Amino acid sequence: MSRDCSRWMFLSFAAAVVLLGRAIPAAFDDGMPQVRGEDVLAQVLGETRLAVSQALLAKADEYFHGGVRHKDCDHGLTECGYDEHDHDHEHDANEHDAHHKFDPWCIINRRVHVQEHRHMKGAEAKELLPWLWAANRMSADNLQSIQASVYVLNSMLGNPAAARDMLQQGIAKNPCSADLEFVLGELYLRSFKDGAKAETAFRAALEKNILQNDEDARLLRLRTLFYLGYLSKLKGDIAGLRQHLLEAEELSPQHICTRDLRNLLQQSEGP
Amino acid sequence: MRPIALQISALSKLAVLDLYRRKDLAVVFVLGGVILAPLLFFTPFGVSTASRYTNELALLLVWLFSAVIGLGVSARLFPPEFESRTIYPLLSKPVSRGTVLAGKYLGALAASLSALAVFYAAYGLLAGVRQGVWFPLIFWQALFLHAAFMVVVTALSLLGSLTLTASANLTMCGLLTVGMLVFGQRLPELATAQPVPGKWVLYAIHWIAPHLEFFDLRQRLVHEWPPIGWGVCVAVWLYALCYAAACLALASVVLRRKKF
Amino acid sequence: MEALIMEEVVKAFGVVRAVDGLSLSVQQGEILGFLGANGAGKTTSIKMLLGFFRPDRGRVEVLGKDPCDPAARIKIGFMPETAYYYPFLNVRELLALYGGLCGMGRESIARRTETLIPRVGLSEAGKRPLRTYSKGMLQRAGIAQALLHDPDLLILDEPFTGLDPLARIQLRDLILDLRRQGKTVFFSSHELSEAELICDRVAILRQGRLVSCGSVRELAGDGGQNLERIFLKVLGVDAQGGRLA
Repeated sequence: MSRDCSRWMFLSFAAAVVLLGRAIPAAFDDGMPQVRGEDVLAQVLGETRLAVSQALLAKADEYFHGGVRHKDCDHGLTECGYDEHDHDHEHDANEHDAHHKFDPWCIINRRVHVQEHRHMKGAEAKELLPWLWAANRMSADNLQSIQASVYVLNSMLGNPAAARDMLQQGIAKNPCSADLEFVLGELYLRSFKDGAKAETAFRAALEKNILQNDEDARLLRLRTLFYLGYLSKLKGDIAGLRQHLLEAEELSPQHICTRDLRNLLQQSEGP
Repeated sequence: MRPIALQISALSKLAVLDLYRRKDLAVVFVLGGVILAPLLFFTPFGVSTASRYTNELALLLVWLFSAVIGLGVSARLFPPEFESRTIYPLLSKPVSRGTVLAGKYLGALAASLSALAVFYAAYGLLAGVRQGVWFPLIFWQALFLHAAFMVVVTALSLLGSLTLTASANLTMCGLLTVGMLVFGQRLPELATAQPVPGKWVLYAIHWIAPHLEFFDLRQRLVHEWPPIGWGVCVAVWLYALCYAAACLALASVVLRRKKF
Repeated sequence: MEALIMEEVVKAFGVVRAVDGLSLSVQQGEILGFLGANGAGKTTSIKMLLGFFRPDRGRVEVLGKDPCDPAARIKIGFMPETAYYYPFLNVRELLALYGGLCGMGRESIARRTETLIPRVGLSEAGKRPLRTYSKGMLQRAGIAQALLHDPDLLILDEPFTGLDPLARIQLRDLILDLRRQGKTVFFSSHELSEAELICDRVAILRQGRLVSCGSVRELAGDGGQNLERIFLKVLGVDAQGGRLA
């Protein structure tokens, strides 16, 4: 009898908790301490999310190097550029282990733990996705991880559609980011060969870039101007191309993007 | 069987029964399953399934759980005997303290190794299903060196169990284990960067503390690096045996001097 | 022949002398009750008899050997005051463990187990884990493990503690039966009535010194006092616990 009673009490209590959990947010709506629908990670971790996200990106970078953490490698995923790099590294642990050449423990460690440097290639890159996904999920503000994800999905795995979807989600969460718009523009141009959409994205990048005034923003602006000039040339819009060259010359007359724009204009105008 | 073998076998059986009847192994298995099961069905970005991260997490759990079991079983070898006074009937039998120590150690080791074998079998099956590569050579090397790890940590924890309570011993050995696995490889590098008192402390730790990172082949196993040389394996095992022997010799001195 | 000899034994822990010049011997086939108030040094003496530690001074010999030598303990059975045996074992597994420690083979352990479990009254609880046992049942398991290897000398520390009246009678009969088989029993106890009923001799200890030793009849003298009176008299206290003038 008492056991039945306890069971019913437990069930009633559980039902009451569920009902209250539904009813209170519905009743008080804006008066709740946290914003409705906000991510549970945001509530639990707060500002530390970005640090955790960076750590997850570093983990992806470690995977990119075959599970080896190379702090002195300047071309991993965390420094993700869009140039393919293929090089032999001989920066083994020899340098910092020179002091401990005859230390038996160091000798064993060098034999047990991987000292070589290798990069992931091709379809193997799918192994990076869980860490990149987690890094993006952890913090939408980590632009570096979004860019790295685009690079892996598009350039390494040859899946531009997935890269575009991911990038559009990233832009939705970071509406002020000129970098993401620029990457989207490059993606449309290089992978989808869609000049119109690429131009829209580059123009958006240029607009968002005006708000920033540092060296990185200046360089991004130059690169964006180059692409816009290139797209103008494709359309046969010489005036547009000249206008972009003028803007680029204002920013940096000797920069490679400015020079390339100048070359494009010369090619368009003929000898 | 000779009496000493009977004595050691009786004491060893006690540690094994202790582990299995406490259901520690079942608990960690369920926990591991709960952690890993959702990951098996996870497809990031809706793209093809990756396997290395599940393998890495599974191996991390194998290391974590095997360390907890190895340290836990050894940490519980003596304190309950002292607390519940069963050490008196034990030592009143015609058994030397050295035999008690050996029996208890071998029991803890047998219990830990049996748990390790179960963990690796589960890992091998998981990795085989995910990657299609069944029990490669590096897998056996990883298991072989992990067994050496258990030889060291059970001896270390056994030494602690003679002077510390089970929880204090587990905490201290746990911290040492994690610390050496994470920083062991970098100790000389860290020592070089320190000013003098800290430098010597770190060098002392480097020379005295057990280099548990020697036994860790997770990186090679997960990322499909080639196996290490068998000569290195043997050297690492010798290191483990020497370290465990030193711990047991010290434990023997402590036990002989202990007044009950 | 003496089963047990202690000669001028001294054992100190720091500045406290737990045993102070104790000399005592027990003949084979004898039952000796080792009596004393709490802290009199009974358990310390027993631990020296079992070779748990050596005396600071004096000589201890058990069945003609130094008890610190493990081989000397092959014919000694010991039951501690209160031991909470391994909770995850049942009594049969407990006896198998101790049998193994005594170097007994599987068959002889099984044979002795079948004899001892009914004898200590644990037949019905033989398969239950020890964590479900009451204090009295654990005490019975303790007696079984002490008797397992058929020892010549039985050392019991407070064996009657925690036993119900029926179990006390059974244990008393068991001890008397052992004497009939020629075994020597040395036990410490606070249960003076039990000691009076079964002991050939009693030894009374006060502050680590032997203050009286002999049969109850010898100690009672012409007054015909019971052991309780003798005990109080020897310790120099009255029945209310106050010190006698």
